[in-house]
Amino acid sequence: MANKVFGKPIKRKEDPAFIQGAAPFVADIHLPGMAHMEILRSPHAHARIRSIDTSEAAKMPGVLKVITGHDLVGRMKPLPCVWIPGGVESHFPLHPQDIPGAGMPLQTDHVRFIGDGVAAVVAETRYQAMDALRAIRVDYEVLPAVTTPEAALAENAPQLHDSVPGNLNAYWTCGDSASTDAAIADAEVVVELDLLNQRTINSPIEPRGALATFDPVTDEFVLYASTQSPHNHRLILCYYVLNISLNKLRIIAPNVGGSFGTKGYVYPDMPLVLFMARELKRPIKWQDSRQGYMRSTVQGRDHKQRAVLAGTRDGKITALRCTSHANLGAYPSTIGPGVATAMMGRSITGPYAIPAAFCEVYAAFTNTVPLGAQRGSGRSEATFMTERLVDLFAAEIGMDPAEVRRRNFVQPGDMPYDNGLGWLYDSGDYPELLERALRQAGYADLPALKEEAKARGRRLGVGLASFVAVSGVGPSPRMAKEGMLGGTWEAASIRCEPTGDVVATIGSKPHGQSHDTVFAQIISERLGVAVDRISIRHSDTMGTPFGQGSYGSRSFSMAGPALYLTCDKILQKACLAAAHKLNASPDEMVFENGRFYVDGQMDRGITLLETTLALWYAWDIPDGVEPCLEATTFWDAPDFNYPSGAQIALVEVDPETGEVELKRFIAVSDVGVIGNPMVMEGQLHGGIVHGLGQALFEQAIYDDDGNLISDTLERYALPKAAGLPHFELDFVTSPTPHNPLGAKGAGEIGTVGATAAVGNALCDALREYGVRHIDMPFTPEKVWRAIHPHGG
Amino acid sequence: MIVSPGAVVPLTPDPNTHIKIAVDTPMKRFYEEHVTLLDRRDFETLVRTHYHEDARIVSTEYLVNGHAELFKHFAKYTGLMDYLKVVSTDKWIESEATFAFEATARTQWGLTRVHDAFWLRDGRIIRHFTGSIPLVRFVR
Amino acid sequence: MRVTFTVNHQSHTLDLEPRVLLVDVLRDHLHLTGVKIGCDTGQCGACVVLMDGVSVKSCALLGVQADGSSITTIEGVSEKGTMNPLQTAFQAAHAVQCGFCTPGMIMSLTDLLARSAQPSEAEIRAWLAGNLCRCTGYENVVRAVNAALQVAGSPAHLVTETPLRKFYDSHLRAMLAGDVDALVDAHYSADAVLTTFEGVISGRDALKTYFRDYLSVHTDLVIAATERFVEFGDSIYTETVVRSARGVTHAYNAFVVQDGRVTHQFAGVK
Repeated sequence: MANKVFGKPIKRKEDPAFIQGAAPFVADIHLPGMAHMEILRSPHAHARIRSIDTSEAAKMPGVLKVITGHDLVGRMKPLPCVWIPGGVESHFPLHPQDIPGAGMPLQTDHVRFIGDGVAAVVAETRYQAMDALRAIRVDYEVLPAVTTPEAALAENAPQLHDSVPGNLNAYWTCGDSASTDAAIADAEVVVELDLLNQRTINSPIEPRGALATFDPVTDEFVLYASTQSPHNHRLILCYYVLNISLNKLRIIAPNVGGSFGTKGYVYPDMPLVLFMARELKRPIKWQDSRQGYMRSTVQGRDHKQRAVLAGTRDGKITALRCTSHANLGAYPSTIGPGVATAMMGRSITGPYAIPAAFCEVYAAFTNTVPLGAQRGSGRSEATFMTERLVDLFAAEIGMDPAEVRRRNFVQPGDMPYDNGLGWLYDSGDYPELLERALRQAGYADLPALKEEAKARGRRLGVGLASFVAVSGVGPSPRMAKEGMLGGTWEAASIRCEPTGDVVATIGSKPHGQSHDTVFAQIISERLGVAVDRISIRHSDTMGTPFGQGSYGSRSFSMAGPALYLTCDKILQKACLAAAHKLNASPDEMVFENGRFYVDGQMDRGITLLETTLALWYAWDIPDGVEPCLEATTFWDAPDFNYPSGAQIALVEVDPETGEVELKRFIAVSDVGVIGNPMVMEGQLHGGIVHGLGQALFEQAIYDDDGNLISDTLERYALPKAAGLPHFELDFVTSPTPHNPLGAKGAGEIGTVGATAAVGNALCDALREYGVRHIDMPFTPEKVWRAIHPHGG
Repeated sequence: MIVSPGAVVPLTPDPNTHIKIAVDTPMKRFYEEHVTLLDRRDFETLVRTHYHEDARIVSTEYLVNGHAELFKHFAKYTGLMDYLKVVSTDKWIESEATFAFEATARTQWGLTRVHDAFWLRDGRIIRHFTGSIPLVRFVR
Repeated sequence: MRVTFTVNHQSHTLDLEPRVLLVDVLRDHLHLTGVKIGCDTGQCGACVVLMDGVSVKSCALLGVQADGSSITTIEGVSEKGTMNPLQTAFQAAHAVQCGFCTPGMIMSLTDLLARSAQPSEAEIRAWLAGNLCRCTGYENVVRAVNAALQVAGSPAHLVTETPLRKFYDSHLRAMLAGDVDALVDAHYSADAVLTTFEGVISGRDALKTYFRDYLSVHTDLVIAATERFVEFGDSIYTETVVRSARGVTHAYNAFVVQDGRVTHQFAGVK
């Protein structure tokens, strides 16, 4: 039977509150008696702290408390790191519980990046707290800094952590080095490329914030925080950092203003506001500024790759090899090291059947802001590299780039396909994705358009990107092998109320993904209850089941199935009660349109609401059946899911100025089954623009001393509305067999191909100038210099 | 009130208790004809004979102005009709050129109190206000 | 410094430290937290409000600079619980994801639509240069503006102060002041018809009698909330929560206003 609600573009339930400015974010919460905390951060990327003098600050108007790292010794432990490079030896800062550490919330003697905290002030107002920061005197002995992994790994490089010799966190590999090298040695054609997948700053529009309360009567804390993983952060804060009972901390993550990978980490401010709330017995709020955000919240990408692709003259790729230096920053972020290794390394073969592949990653600590995930993390870096190589290979053998791709795609009939690096692709039709994109682009007509552009003094380039983006983190046993120190299942509960309302509680937490609406659509479809009568509760550790949170395109394909399967449990129980009421056997029952009836006797039925009521009254229910209608599911997927796509960018370059204009962008995506196409398109739009930002505008720039030059939005360019084309979207649907919805991750796939599509288009446009490669971002200056290598 | 387990009546009232209005005044006749045309989906006749060329419908859900928009509106309204059943007409008032009523209706969201007010010019509707209040309010 | 200004039609006199930013005054002093702070340096536009009808970044102004001005924030562009056509279009076009930039976007676009009746897509995109969004890729924001223009028919619907709005406010004020003569003479045409379920009242004299009776029973009358306010051409539809000595009632009213006077009114209570 056709779906009525699921798969329909219904309007979002969460929108009116946002649109009227009535939806609270952390910064919007005011509590009686609330005081404000500010953190003093190191102005140096690398220094010894000789002394800190807080005496003047403590006397400033309104100041309630000033602390340094010394005040935390013995009262707080370092933050932990819970995703380490899997299967290899790795070195970390220490943690007393024998897990990897990530540094104390405030440093006592050694600062390692420009955001490292050295003191914290609480005052009656935020302005007073900021005034007091300026009165704190810190005597630093500045040390030499390293900002790139290569420099950090060099002999005699400055050392960041005593427990990490040579600054090497891990040397991680996947694939078969020997067979890959042999294939490259034997190859007819070899193309090599050095790439810098530049460091970026995720830049959600809401900076982070944290607000803690402490009740001295019950010893209970509440933490309001802009986090995308409230349950995990509660566990980490209680067990690894503050040494308090899990039952004493409740985390509420109110509305979160975007994250893109930055708000899934435990940051120093969280234990600090909790500490201060307990010390002062008042609510304590910390709200970051944009500059503070850019200097202390995790950043993304930052892989220096040396890549080699080998193949035959007739276009068959025979080997792919990558050596990457990943820049972890000064400390491991909560899940940073795992992101920098597996998510990139295992993804380099993309949609292609490549007989021999190998990837090695040197993950190193440097005096920069810690590295974390950014939308499409790992997969975007892998795709940019491989897709650039495929185009260079096509140019080398004189074949159309589309044809080279066709000759190497994993075919739909090959599924499930083992890529040899650790991913087992579930389903997909990579050739169809590309053919549709080519048709939409009018690929055959593009040479004529290029001529036309040239006649206007401009150069038109077309760039293809085909990709696979592992999503839906993930099967827990598998993630254990990848170095994840914890389960990665997801949880959901559903309760049918006697009034006909349904409430679902989930561990997953939205920050723009539309949980309230799309999850209600799943339940509505399964239970026949109107979407408006279904409430999705989340974001509060009190009253929701433990869940891992929203990251890695996992909410819909992990929390979604948990809800779907919970509906099964609800219907199974309701069926027993319905059969009892109808004096029928449960085997004879049919459930349709929110109503059970006896098979073949449509008029002999009972609605789910009536059944729910009967279970609620519990005056006459079957033996062995408990009252009320409520169920919970903990869902661990059997494997990841593998969304895929083909994207085509058309860019026009002005050779006089180096300006790159994006003319068209086509994205054909396979995200499996879609819950709400309107929301899906929105995810694609945002994802694509995220990739376009990296391709055209964004770069975190550090000077040699480790100062972050691009630390405001004046100096870090984000994409704006002007200059973006209308996005041409299309979908191919290959349901994943790995969950009952058939849904794959979607939040990141717009991003994953976009840098490669634009990069390939730009290099295509500049072909006549002999330009082989340009590193992102493709600023006019860089493009102009590539066109004019000897100057104007 | 004693509620027996099978008595789900407070939550799902009997759909067959639609109370018809006795046809005894010009406005009631007009309204009865209005409902009949709606039920028949005869929007062509409805718009032409019951709405003035400059008629407007004003509600919190939609704003409709003139015959062209009215035709479009009622075409869309067909879908809604499947979900909307009047259970009872609770209040009625009319004057020479106006009438208004309140009724209880059943929609996909449950029981709803609807109210409609009409101002007629030359025997056709020139302004039509309509609103509804769910009997049970659902807070998100 | 002592500063007096109007925010969302409400007058405020505050004693402000000269260095305090306008955005902090709105958020921390007046608790209008629909105004957001995203960047502190004037790029992101999450803090945009209207000052005397013109969009400004409230993080780039001091509170004292607002002295004597009239400010509109997101909280003032529609009655609580309702959305104006631009807001409605934001939902319909899925122009909102995380929702943090949304209030600033709406305020900027309200200014644009007050200036330009039919902005082109390029104009809309250029205007949004001062509003950053990291979720939507802007595509659906542009769609929403276009949809709002079509739905509303005229950008005038997007502006908070409309003639009908002012008329309604004036009507309410007279009613709450208990000034029945001003209420009826200044707001109702000579042959106005008020249709209620208690009866139909025609003409000014009958209306005055009706309102006097009503006010004598409903002493201490207060409009506790305006839950809905819709205007369309010459018509107004409202749903309000009314509190008086008789208790709390939910009322709905519909008005047809021609030549500045009510010709027909319908009233009911829930």
